Amino acid sequence: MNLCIGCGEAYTSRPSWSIFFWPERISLLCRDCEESFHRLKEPGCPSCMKQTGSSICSDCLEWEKSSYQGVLEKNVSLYSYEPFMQDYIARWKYRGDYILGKVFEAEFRKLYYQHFQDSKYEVVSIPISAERMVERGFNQAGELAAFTRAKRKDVLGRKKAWRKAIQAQTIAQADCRKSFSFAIRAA
Amino acid sequence: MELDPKRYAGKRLLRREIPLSTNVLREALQHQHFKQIPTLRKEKNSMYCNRCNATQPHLQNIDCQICDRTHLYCRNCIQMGRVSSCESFYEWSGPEPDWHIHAKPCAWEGELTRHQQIAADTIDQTMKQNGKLLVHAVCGAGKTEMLFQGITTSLRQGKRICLATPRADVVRELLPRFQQAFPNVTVQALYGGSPDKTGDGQLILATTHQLLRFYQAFDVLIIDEIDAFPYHADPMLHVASEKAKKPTCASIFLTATPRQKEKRQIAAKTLPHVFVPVRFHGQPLPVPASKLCIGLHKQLRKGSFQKGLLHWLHNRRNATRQVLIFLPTVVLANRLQDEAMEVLRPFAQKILPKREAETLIRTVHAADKDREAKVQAFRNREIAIILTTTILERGVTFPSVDVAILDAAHDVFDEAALVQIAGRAGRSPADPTGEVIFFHEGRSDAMDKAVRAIQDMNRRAKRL
Ligand SMILES: [Zn+2]
Ligand SMILES: [Zn+2]
Ligand SMILES: [Zn+2]
Ligand SMILES: [Zn+2]
Repeated sequence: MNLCIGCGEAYTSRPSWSIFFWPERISLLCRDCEESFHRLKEPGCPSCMKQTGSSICSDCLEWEKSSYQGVLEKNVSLYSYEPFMQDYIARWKYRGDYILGKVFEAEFRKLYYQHFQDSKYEVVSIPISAERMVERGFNQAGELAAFTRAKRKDVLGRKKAWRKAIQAQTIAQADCRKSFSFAIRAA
Repeated sequence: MELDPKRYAGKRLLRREIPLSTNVLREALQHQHFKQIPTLRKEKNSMYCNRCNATQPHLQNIDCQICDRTHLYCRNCIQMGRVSSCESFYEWSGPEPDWHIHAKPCAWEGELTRHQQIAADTIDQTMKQNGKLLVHAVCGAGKTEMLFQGITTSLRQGKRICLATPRADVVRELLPRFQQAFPNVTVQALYGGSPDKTGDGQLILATTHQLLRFYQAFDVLIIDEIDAFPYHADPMLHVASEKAKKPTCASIFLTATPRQKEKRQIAAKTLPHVFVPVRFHGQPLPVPASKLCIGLHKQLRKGSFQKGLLHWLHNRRNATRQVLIFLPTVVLANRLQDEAMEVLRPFAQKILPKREAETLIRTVHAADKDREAKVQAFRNREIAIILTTTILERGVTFPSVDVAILDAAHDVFDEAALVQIAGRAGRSPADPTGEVIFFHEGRSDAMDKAVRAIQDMNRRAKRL
């Protein structure tokens, strides 16, 4: 018997074909939670994967008319962002419930290689602010990037800034925002 | 820099909960105004959270980029802010706070009934002696007012008091009542998302979860609705309430529907108790009627109402009373909503003839964002009929309602829930009766027990 990391209920993992495909996920979530994750099924818009038809969507057409023309090569998504997922992500990110992210690992990696197998790509994660980092201790985007196990690059790095911020704190770890900006200024 | 002991004493705080700069905190540590305590501890090869006492599997690993190590954090009490093993708790070890000694704190001028007075005296005595007491008072007995005398005595002695209750709705309802009763006392309400977060009041009203914030803080701890979810079922909340007490502390437990455990303690005389079987207006509790409806489940599944309910609505003794309709699940409540707007509308219009028909019938459930507003609108007589899950079974008071339960034999309606739901009716002295009806397709044990329990209360009340 396990405790579901999504809802905290005890459950027995049931033998099923899906265990061969998503071994990590099956061992973390109960059936109810697992079924509340809705995979995007349609190929959708070839550019952004929006689930409306299979041709370039109106959003993307708009973008192409703007100064952002040609910037986006492709956006891919794994799940639809419904209330259950919104809540799940909020608990992962804002509450800092680190383990919740592990659920995405296998499928996120699979999706990545399905679309970006070519070695010309490098993985860059969107950084979070120094304050956030000292509150949470992890960056959810960095976690996702690590799940790909691909080559990663910190081109948008704010890492130095928060390293410095942490060092400026001689006492303990996290800090409230006010004294934190003070610490950064002092550094 | 002078630090206010009231702000920090009685808690174990994480660094981010202390609004002091690094330098000020460092100085406070040097002066031994704070001491640092590990957030997790090891006991017999297992790790435990020092805030909620949880152990595996509630403790999980995080690859922490603050300290660049992989270590444990606690998931069990994470809603109060994450506790990680690379952090410490800060516990106040400076001068004890001087809680105000109030000469005449209570402004409430109402009068207690004879039975309320007996309970109030017993509560008062228990608080003076730092004892334990179970107050078993029927729904509508007026238990809040029974607490005032003891709280007054405690405030005269400069004590710090906390009343914890399972639901935020109830905390919000209690706050203005306590502020009016104790106008010169710092009364604070704490719940998830409450405007007040500091928890430095002398009289704290809080959800039971918020007790996790405190450590050896209170001289008097009152726990309301001890039989209710989640307090009744969550061991973490019992740990939290034990930790929130000072080593000497009075404990008052309130319930309208004691569970087996309390009944046993009462019978074995291991827990002193006082019983208030009468409502404050002196009228008996409404005894639920039952109506067998063949085909009820099938019809509910189809999203339609049973004739029995419509018949009952039509024949109510007082057609202007608002109506609470309880349903076992959210799914069902949502499914019935459309049909309700149509079929129940004539009844709703009879209840509130002057209101817009579109807003007369509403559904509420636990995750409903507008729950607070809808409950308030119902109280203001802007809504005529509410379809609800058990979320409104207790705590909230409406002056004049009739109550129906659809599928009363469903598992979610245990004895306590049914007694509590029946207790929503007949609350006001101006309209002290009300109708309660169970619609079912085969009686449950809990239904029979609930009816017997209510009849028993009424019998005991009559004998007094
Ligand atoms: Zn689950
Ligand atoms: Zn698109
Ligand atoms: Zn904990
Ligand atoms: Zn750490």
